[in-house]
Amino acid sequence: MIFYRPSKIYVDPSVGDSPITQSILKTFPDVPCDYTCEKPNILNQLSGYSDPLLEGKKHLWITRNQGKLLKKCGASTSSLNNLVCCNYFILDFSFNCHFECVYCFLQEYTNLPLMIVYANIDEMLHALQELLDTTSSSIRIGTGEMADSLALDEITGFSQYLVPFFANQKKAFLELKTKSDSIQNLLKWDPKGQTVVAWSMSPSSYIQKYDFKTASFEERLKAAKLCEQAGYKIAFHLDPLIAEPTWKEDYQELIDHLFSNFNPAWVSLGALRFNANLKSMIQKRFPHTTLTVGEFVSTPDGKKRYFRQFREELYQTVHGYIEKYHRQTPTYLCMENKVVWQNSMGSVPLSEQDLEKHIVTHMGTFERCQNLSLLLFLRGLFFA
Amino acid sequence: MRFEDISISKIQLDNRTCEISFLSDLTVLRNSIQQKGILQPVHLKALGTGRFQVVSGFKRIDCAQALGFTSIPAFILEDEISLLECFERAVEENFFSRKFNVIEKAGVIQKLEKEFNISKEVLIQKYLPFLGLNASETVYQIYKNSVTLDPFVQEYIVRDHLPVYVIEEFFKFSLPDQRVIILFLQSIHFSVSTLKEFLVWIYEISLRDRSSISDMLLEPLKAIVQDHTLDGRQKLQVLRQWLKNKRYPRLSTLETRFVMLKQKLHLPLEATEFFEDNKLHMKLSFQNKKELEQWIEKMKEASLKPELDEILKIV
Repeated sequence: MIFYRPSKIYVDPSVGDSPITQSILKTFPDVPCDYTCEKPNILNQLSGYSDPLLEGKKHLWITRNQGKLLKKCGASTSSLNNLVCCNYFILDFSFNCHFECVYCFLQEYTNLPLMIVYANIDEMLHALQELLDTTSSSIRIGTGEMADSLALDEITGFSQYLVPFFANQKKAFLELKTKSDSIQNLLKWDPKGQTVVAWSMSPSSYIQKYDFKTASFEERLKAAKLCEQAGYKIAFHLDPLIAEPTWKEDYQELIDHLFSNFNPAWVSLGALRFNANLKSMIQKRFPHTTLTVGEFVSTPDGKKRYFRQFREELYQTVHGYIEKYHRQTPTYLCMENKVVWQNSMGSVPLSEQDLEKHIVTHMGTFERCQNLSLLLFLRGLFFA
Repeated sequence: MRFEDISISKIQLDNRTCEISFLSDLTVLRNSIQQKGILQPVHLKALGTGRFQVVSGFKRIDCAQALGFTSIPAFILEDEISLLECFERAVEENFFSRKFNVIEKAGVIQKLEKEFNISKEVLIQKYLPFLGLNASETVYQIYKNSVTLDPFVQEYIVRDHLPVYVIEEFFKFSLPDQRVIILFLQSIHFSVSTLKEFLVWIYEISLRDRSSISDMLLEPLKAIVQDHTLDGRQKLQVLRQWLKNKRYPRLSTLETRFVMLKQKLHLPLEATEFFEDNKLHMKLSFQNKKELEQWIEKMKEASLKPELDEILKIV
């Protein structure tokens, strides 16, 4: 894994005293730093660079998240009909990622292509507490939507605030989603079962080919094992599933690796998808990549996906591999509709709350009893 | 600036620094000059040695010389005006009298950069808006890349008035491949949208299969183009289907199977685009009860056929 080092830091004075800001500045005492209430000037100059995204990432902006600190996952607001969501909440603690994954949607998502860290941690914890006070059921909250949850953790120290906070909760789980092996901070805390560290996983050769600057397959597995030993639950996101010519063997091997070493809290599957802008961006930034030459078609929400029957084959196959190991492991599809759910998984969750409940219930029952029949009963209860 | 008749022999005709035109049709201009002479004086820069450099009016001078004129009316720009200012004047004069094509704009940008050492930042901020373009790195790169295209591709772009979003597709190909493609394009005419699709598909197939563009275009596609039993429209359809089968083999197989089963069921069945939904649709039209009953009969017959089960499995 390549560690992040900015060439310049910009600090919003309103978060100058934040422990997050102080941690970053302490890590990079020799990096030039500007205090400014405005958006960094470099934003106006980025269009002059041949790769504005790459240049933008050299600049770290520490500021306050003035928007909604907690929100529902973007999938729930998608224009795709019949999309099945998992009632996931997102805490935006950071924006952008120094890793260079070829398929990453962040490449075309923003007009602020800097590395942004939101340092108003007190307000975030307050917002979290407010949400939990008003929620009756168990929920999952993740930080890995607009950034990698842990890629900058050794610089920002965010996990040192989030993990203990969730350790004191009973009905909320924190999910830290990552492609890094930056787990040193995590090992200092007892998560008390409330934090799940989830690795985005692909076959090893795909990681080498498409996940530049990230931790290697082996590094991710090693980090996951250390986290498991420290009391964290482990989950995996096989997203994006990429249909390389040898995908069946590659994913079989991947599942063999993962499930012979771990008993994951959940697994998500999501076939590779991108919109037209992202495709252009990928071809421009990675001109010789074969990532976009699969059998992709336009789907109703404007995204390109493998055509439905092929996506179903991908999901059925990989889910089949998983079921051979652990039939009870909650496995869900990301950004997919009811037709694909039905044809791939054999059932459709009744609602997003039901899917969430299924995932979270598994976590609870998983520890209390490993009673397969009960889990199968629950599975039948929550799925139509 | 003074006005004079200048002997063509005193003009440096080989110095084309300020020339902007690309692929001009000189027929109309030549006829006009032949009949009425030069109505609009050219602009020349005095070089101080009794010789002159052309600032604007290359085409008029070329035509006049070809017609046997020995002198030409000209506005003379004095020696102290810099060559960059002359070039800017040339651009301005041309720009306000006609629309520049993409390659001409690209040529202006290239000359400013190479001949006048204008920095990329100044080019983007000052000269792109001057040429009616957005001041961005992306636009700058597109025009910079356009200059590097094979001259035959440039010619094709100008003659067919290709928009930037199609021009960009040519950048992905090497110069030899561009030449192969352009030779192929001489034999069949694409609309703008089908040309883009053609370029995208041949590029993606060659990238995926690690096959050469010339192998693809010279063998199977050339045979389609040379098939004299097909008219132009049919050739395009066959060519598109061949490429689609190659680019989307599994989806194409599915679609072909769907069409075959649909024909056997004798019903106007339609699936959603790319089968994204799992429903079949059917739109019937009838004018009277008898026609409706005929449809009902057809549906009854279809419901008993194994092809119905198969088509339902496909979707």
